[in-house]
Amino acid sequence: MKTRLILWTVTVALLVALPPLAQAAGQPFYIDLVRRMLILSIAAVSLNLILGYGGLVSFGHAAYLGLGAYSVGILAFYGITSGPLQWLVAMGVSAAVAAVIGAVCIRTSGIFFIMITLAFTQMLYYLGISLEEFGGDDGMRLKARSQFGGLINLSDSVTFYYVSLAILLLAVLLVYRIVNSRFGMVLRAAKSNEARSRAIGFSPYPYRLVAFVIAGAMCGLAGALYANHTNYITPGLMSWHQSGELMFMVILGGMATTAGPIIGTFAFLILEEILKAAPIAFVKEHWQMFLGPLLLLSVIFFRRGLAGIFYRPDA
Amino acid sequence: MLEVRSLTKSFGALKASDGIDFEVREGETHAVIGPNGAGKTTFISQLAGNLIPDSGTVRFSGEDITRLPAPQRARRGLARSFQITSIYKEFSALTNVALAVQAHAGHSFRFWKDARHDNELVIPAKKVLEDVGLGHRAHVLAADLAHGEQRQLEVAMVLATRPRLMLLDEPMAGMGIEESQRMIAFLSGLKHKQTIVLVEHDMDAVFRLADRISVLVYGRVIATGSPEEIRGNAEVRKAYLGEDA
Amino acid sequence: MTFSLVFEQLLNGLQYGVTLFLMAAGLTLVFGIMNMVNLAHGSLYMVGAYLAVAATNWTGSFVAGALLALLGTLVVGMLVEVLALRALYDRDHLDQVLATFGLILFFNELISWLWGRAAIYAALPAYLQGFVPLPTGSNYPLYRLIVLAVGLAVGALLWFVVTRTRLGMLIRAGASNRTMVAALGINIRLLYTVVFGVGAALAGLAGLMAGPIYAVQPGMGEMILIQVFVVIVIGGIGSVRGAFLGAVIVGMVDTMGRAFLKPLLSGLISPTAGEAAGPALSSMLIYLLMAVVLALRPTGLFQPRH
Repeated sequence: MKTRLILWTVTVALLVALPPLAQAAGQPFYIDLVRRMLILSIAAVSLNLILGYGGLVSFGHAAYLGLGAYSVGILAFYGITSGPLQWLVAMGVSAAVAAVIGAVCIRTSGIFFIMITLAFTQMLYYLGISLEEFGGDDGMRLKARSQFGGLINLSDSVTFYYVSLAILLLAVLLVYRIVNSRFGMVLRAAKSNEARSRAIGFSPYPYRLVAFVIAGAMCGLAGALYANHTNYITPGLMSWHQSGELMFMVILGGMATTAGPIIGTFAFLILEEILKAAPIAFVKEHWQMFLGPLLLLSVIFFRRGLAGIFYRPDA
Repeated sequence: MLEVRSLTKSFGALKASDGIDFEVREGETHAVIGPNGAGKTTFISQLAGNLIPDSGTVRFSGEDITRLPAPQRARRGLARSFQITSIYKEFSALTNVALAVQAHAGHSFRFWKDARHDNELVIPAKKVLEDVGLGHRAHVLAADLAHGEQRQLEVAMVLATRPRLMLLDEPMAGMGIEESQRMIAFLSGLKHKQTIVLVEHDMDAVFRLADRISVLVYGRVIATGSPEEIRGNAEVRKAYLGEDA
Repeated sequence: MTFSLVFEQLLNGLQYGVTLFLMAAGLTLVFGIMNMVNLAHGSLYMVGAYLAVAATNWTGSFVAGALLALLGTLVVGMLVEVLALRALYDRDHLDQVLATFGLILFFNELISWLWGRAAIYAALPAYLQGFVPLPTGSNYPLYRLIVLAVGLAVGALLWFVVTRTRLGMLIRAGASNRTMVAALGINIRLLYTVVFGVGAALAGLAGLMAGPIYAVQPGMGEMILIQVFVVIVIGGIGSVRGAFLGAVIVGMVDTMGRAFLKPLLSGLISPTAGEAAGPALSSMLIYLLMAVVLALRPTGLFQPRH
């Protein structure tokens, strides 16, 4: 327990220190780079709740990333740039859609669940492509970043960085409390042994559905942040490709661990950056050809995920 | 307390339950015995709600629960233990039992308070563990418990749900002599505080614990009576007990 | 909306349906018997299409090209099985999903490297370019009818093998009880390899036939794979019969939906409604269908035959 606390403190301290360090070193680009990792970590944390702790292999989680981003984008398109409103809508829409999709999907299990979560996300993706007004296939620019009055200026790279970090830490704390609460215990019990859970009197369905909605809303918030980060919103955010990457980040980092999603996201994105910056032109151009087999190998050999290297998962 | 009428369940051409009539009085320990393949586990599964019968009824304290799903039966006080140990392997023994306590301690849509330190759950759980003799193993991971201890844990979880009727499916399965004796002693202690339906192969346990015995052969109850009556029943001896009993 | 137009679209739907069926049959058998989720199935479809184009250009003959493509896909499939999938048989579905996801990335990029990211053109020989007059008056592309015929023939062949041969019996037994089949001493490894090979060949066939009709580009496998998932969810896992019916239903609904929903909405409600909702709704149609089927039958319409 002590070690974990130390590791966390060190990590947070490093993350907090990054912007001034980067600026001092004359490399402000790293602030943006790490900020992207922070935002996607929020999405990974949300997925870890239902996938790592809940055992729901949702192959469609990126849908909420897209829904959150589009909520911000579409509202900005129509001149509504109030940050609190946009972000609340992003979370609300994501929660609502998660409720509907979850209600249908959670009745199934196993392979079926994987396939239909994928199918529904794809449906949203096609919907996104067909919305010509909002750029269709090409996506749309974000007209203006979310406004927070004079309080927070997201156009300032460093401020935005700290906002993202703060939200990530809040998300981590929230998930930590949830998974150790009565609700979380039921969710984890249902994953561990569904028959036993039913036999003592728990019906997993309502708990899974609520977890699904919470995860969706949290990911929607990540989407809203992401839209602000990239200033551009494409349907690709909702693609199954993106969903697969999110799942990867969670698994790579270590499922059902608190730090896993962050470790996994950072590891994955750093790997991507390394490949994309490779000195060999061929690797740089076709980096996915190398990422693919690396992912394959990591699944085959890294069963516990990277967090397993640091500590054993909670009992 | 429990009333079963004409329970029938087929799997394709196999009639696992063939018009079973069965009843359990409050406070009694009613054993169900029968040769392998007699349909005992199918029978228990229909009582617990893991299987829905093709026809027939199951009434619990007068309420028709024939088609009620398992979790709801458990909430009404009908608790089941499994023949093949079914516990939460990644959690400690204490957490296993605490979950069972939690299922009957109000609603579980609480998102913030740490359940591991919730006295409402932990104190009763500790007590049940001590009652079954696992108090000293409370913080051991369930997967690390010995087989016999896991069976004890299974029973502990049933007890923790404060049942009105316990369905125990071969609680002694895979246990050694000493462990079995301990379990039998423990179950004797429960006898007049609980109503128990006991499926068992261990004849020693059955004859020591049961108030009444029903014999199941090929999905039908061929005899019901006190242990002496069953011991003396010629048909039962032929079908099941063999010449030695 | 004339009857001949409707009939044409019906044929299109059927033809798309058999393409889906060829993919679904392989996938559902692999699911059912090996309990394996293989996302790279779509990649084999893509490989089939690309190899056909390359082989046709190389040999100058469409038929020779097709045969080489089929063989090539089979070889690629076997390589994938031996090198990557064998390690995943005992793992849970999540691991299989992620690992085969990695394979998809690899194959898409490999194809992009070899043939570029833009769509390429799969030419049809002159003798296949013709039209066939339909009883309803219009003319229908000969090639599409051939695809339909081949698909139906393969379907019949599969039905025959699964229901009337020893191999088929093993397949059905394996689909309902894997451990039992292994316990009976049947060489499970060999059975798996055969089943996977058949699946790969079917995917390759679907791909090489689809090339001239649909776009040949990186990522084409994933676009169809998701619809194949819908087919399997509707039809039930492990059931070839389910795969066929599911495929026909999905093929029809999707094709007819795309063709007629917009004019239908425009006619019934208003042209603006048709314009606004038509395209979006028609692409969502099969997923809505899937949701409805699942609401009524959470495990699909068919179970594997005993």
